[in-house]
Amino acid sequence: MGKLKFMNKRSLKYGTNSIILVVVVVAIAIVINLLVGMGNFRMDLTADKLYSLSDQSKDIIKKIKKEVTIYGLFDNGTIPGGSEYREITDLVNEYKNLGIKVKYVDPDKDPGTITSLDPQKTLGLSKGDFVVKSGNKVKKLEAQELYGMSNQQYGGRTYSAEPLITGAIKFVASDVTPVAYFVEGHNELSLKEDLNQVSKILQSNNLEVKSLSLLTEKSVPDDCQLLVFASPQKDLTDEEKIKLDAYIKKNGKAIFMFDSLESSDKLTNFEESLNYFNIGINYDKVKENDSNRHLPNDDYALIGSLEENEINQAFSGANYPVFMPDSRSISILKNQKDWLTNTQLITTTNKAESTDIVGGKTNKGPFNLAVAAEISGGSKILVFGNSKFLSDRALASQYGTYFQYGTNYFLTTVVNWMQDKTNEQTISSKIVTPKILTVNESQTKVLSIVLIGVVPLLILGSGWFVWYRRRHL
Amino acid sequence: MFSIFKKEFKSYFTSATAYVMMGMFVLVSSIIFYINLVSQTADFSFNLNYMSIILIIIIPILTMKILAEERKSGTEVMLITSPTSLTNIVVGKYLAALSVFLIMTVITFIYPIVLAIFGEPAMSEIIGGYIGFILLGTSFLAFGLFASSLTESQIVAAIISVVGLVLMWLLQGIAPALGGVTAKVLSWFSLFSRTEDFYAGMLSLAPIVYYLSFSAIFVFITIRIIEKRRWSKG
Repeated sequence: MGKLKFMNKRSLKYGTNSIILVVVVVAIAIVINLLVGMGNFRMDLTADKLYSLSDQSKDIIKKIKKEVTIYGLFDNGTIPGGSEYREITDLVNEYKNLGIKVKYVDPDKDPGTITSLDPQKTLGLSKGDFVVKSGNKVKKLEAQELYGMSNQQYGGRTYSAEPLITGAIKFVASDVTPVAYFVEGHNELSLKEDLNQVSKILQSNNLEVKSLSLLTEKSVPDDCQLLVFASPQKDLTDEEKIKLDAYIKKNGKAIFMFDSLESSDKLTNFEESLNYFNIGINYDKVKENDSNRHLPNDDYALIGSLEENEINQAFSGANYPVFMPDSRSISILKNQKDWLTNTQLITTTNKAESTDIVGGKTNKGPFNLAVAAEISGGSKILVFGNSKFLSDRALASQYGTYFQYGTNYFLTTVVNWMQDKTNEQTISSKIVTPKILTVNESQTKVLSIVLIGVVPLLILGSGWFVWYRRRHL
Repeated sequence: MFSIFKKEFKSYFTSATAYVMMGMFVLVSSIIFYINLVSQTADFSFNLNYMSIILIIIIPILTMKILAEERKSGTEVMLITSPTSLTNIVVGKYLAALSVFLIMTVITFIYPIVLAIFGEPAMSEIIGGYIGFILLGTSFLAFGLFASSLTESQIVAAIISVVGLVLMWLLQGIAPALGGVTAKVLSWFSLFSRTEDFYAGMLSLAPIVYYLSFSAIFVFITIRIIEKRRWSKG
């Protein structure tokens, strides 16, 4: 009995010691984990660098001196791992490291937040949204648009979180926001229906985007920094032409995108306005005979070449193909003016041919697909023989990646050259490429038999062999 | 420690257990991989996700006999009274089980190789994913080892680890639904939720430290439990 007592005491002593030791070790481990958790030591292994900010974004953010806060209107503790919100919150964390404040507020538990962020209730904030705020300026971002437009048919998506968040930060932190007006009234591409992506990237680069009717407005508004004609199908009226000319001649900046039209309608007033800048539009459709510069089986699906010049220099990815299907050609008129500079931007090869829509006459290349004109110290215009590369439809298509290069090119020229900001950093959407596996039916069959049948059977067979041999030892 | 490791490791391959377990694991993993083949995707993250769930069954089978059998057959007394330290014995056994798990994992490298031949997978993402998978397995093994030290019945040990691992798995689903601090605290304890970052292509230091400390703690607790038994038995 005495022995048992002694054992219990010893057992109790060592038991207690053990428990204390375990508690201490667990406590140390928790402290180490908490300390490591406070840092942000991580490596983005994704092929598309989804969780990392580009150097351009970092440069933009570092220059911002005002206090900016990103609000996530949800409880970030409830985000399931692997969800799209997780992808965005991981990226938002990167902004936190650059000094931007980040707050997550669940509006269900704290309804006052929405009221304080949007007292006039004009933003239509709801749970799940992100809001970027600095001083009195507020910008709402919906999670879905941050996550990007996915391409159901071909896989992959355009991940816009970084340009949108950085753009919103730039917008709320800047005192002035220039406006880009997209003209309507000539069956142009609609800002709301066809140009969502491009209007987003313009907004991301601190350009407010609005529609404008030259018919109803007395003149081009004073805050207009950029006037865009995205594929007009009808000519300007004389009245509109007067307003346009008045704007561009008074140091205005405009972009014209003319698609190849399958009709004989002349755009005489447009032509006259462009002639002032030594630019002519042709009523044709360009075909490329160099098989390296068009899509297989479609000679009209042109891959334009970027000319080497100062304007294109700003586009860091000058080697990328700029995809411009069904283009018309643009001419630089032989009418030299000392005060005017014309620059070829995108061209075809000399193997290209164009066919006039009326009459069917064939012309020999090379052709210009985009041209710039600048009046020294004043007006600037860009004229494209294509607008398809900017449309939402093109960006969501099978060739979305190629079209995206064109969109990024457009953005860079608009932000840098058009706005006279040679050192401006531009940020574009990331294209999340689908990881495709190309196996045919017979390969699938063979691989399935090997992986589901042969390999497991080999392993199980080895086990049976070992067991059988030992049994008969 | 090395002699214990060698003996244990050999014992896995002189019985049919390791083969059956690896065969089953590869079979189920191949069935999951079949989805890649038919849906023509070189994305490997969902494979790793499902392979992790299979580990809930596989790892307890691997670890159930590590200590429970020693106790049942009475050899535990010999172990704890042997000149080798208890830490060496437990760690040696743990490393042997870990090696079997690593061999099993290496066999599954066949899938990324197939993906690389027939597609363009993001290899950096797959490597990061495998690091997460191995760390998760390492933690499961430590928990299985702990469960095996609690009982002399292999079946009971397996049940304890399966139930424990299932609970940890469920925690991942339950935590977000609760919200607030509770969600954060529960998520912090979830082994599975930490793999999400790895499988999504993010290699972070915090989860690596978490898995390693989780494993170390359970190996340490196991040593303490056997140590305690040594003193209880006198």
